[in-house]
Amino acid sequence: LSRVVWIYLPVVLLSHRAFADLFDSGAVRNWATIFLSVTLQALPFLVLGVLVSAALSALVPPTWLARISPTRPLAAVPVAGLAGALLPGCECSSVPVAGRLVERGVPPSAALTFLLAAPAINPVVIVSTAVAFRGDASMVGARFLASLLTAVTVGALWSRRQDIGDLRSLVPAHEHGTKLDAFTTTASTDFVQAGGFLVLGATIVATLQTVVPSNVLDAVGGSGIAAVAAMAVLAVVLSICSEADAFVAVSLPQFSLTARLVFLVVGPVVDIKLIALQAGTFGRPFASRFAPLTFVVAVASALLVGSVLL
Amino acid sequence: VSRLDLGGITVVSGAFALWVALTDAVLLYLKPSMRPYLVVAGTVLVLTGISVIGHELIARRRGTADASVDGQPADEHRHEPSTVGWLLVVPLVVAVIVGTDPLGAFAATRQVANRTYAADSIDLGAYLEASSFGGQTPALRVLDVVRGVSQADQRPLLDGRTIRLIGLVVRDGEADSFLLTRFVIGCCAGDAQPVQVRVRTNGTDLPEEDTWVQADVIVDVEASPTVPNGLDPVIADLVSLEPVDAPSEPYEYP
Repeated sequence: LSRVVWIYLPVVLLSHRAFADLFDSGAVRNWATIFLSVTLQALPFLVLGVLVSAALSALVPPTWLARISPTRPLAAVPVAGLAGALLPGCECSSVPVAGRLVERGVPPSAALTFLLAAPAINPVVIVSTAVAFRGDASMVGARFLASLLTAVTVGALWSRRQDIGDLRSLVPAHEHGTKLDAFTTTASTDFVQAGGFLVLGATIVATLQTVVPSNVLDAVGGSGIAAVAAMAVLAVVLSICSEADAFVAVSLPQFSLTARLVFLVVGPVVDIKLIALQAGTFGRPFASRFAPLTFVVAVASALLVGSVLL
Repeated sequence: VSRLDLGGITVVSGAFALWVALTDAVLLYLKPSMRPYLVVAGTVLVLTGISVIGHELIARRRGTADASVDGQPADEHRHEPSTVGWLLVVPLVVAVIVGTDPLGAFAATRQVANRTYAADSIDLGAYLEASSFGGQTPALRVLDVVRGVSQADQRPLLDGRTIRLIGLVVRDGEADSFLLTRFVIGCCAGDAQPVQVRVRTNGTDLPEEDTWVQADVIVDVEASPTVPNGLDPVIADLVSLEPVDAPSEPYEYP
């Protein structure tokens, strides 16, 4: 495969749009635009994530993180939730960081709480939600609380079974050679591993957005169970960056506020792009149990908080 | 995936990000404020990949090459990611063979929906009254027109006034009107939503679908809905129409 790629890649590049006529259809172009935009949008955040993760493994002594994190998993969970709020960036940053935290001996439940909390309740997301909803404090507060509740609940549920799926698929850090060698090799490894799955996720997102007209879900509307289900599924399928989802939520006034809260709480913790990244970092068995659990908890948290605040 | 491949894939991904970020191609995919982040990410990736390749080449020369390369038992220090990593070359290949295009009429017809930007406020008065526009027709964003029409205090300002819009032509089978369309993106083209004005051509030939036009129009305030959305858009009458090239910044931002 290595030879095939390195020989044919320059050939493809030199062909420079010789094939463009073959793909001259609205659907294919639409697919390519969405595929590339989802990939490029996530790229800077993924790079930030692998840099933090590589710094953790190259610069922080292996036992130090395990020593400072609280020994009782339940105590670690809220701390990780708040730590997650401090790392700015979208969901793509937090996956490699969480993977490295687990590898360094942090309790999986705490690392997973961090994984879920970081994208949902960081300052950038709070500000963009406030801007989109024009300062509607109840929506901003509801989103913050429901997201934190989701992260802490999933972490607590997971702490009862200290098991993070197939940990063997976590690629160990590169720990020999110079510090620079260790840092760049670990960063490069994490990037290629997670990036490949990101591309896979972007492929599915672009295909669904091209094949399934979004009017199908919009047509549901209202405030009943169907509306909540439609918004939850829309959040998973669209895989919108958590900085931008509030602008989409605000433009769907035919859905109740609670249904839109479900959209804002589910999107940053379970979507196709994220499931692909988690499968790449923690292994498929993990992702296949973690994503459904998170989905159910996120919907329940949003409904609970929504019924009180909205 | 050997360590040389690892470095190679990282360099290629970074170079692709840099190429997109340093040309106007980035505006087809992301909001402009994301551009510096993409430049930084691309640079970091290229440098990281070069460092990985460099270290590996030095190690090979010294005869201490990495296990995953020269066939020693791989589990001693296994740090090769799965073959899925090769997928990172796919975005570059797609960009080259399919080409780089903004969202077109296809996306608009997929997403026509009863979505609305109604509640956003806008001060058209300050803009329209402040300048004489050097005798030119004042240009407005499609999003501004949609917002203006939905605001009771702004609506009258559009009545009877010729304004200039640039947008994509989307046809929906009507014989005497087309939908002048722009996409609004919050973050990337993946979250794009169309905003549209129905332009009645009143006898002028309909422009080709998926082409860009500059249209001078007068909004028909009486006929336009108070809460315009994808199914019930703003309605305007055409004054003059001119084909234009797609703008380098094809999207509007909320």
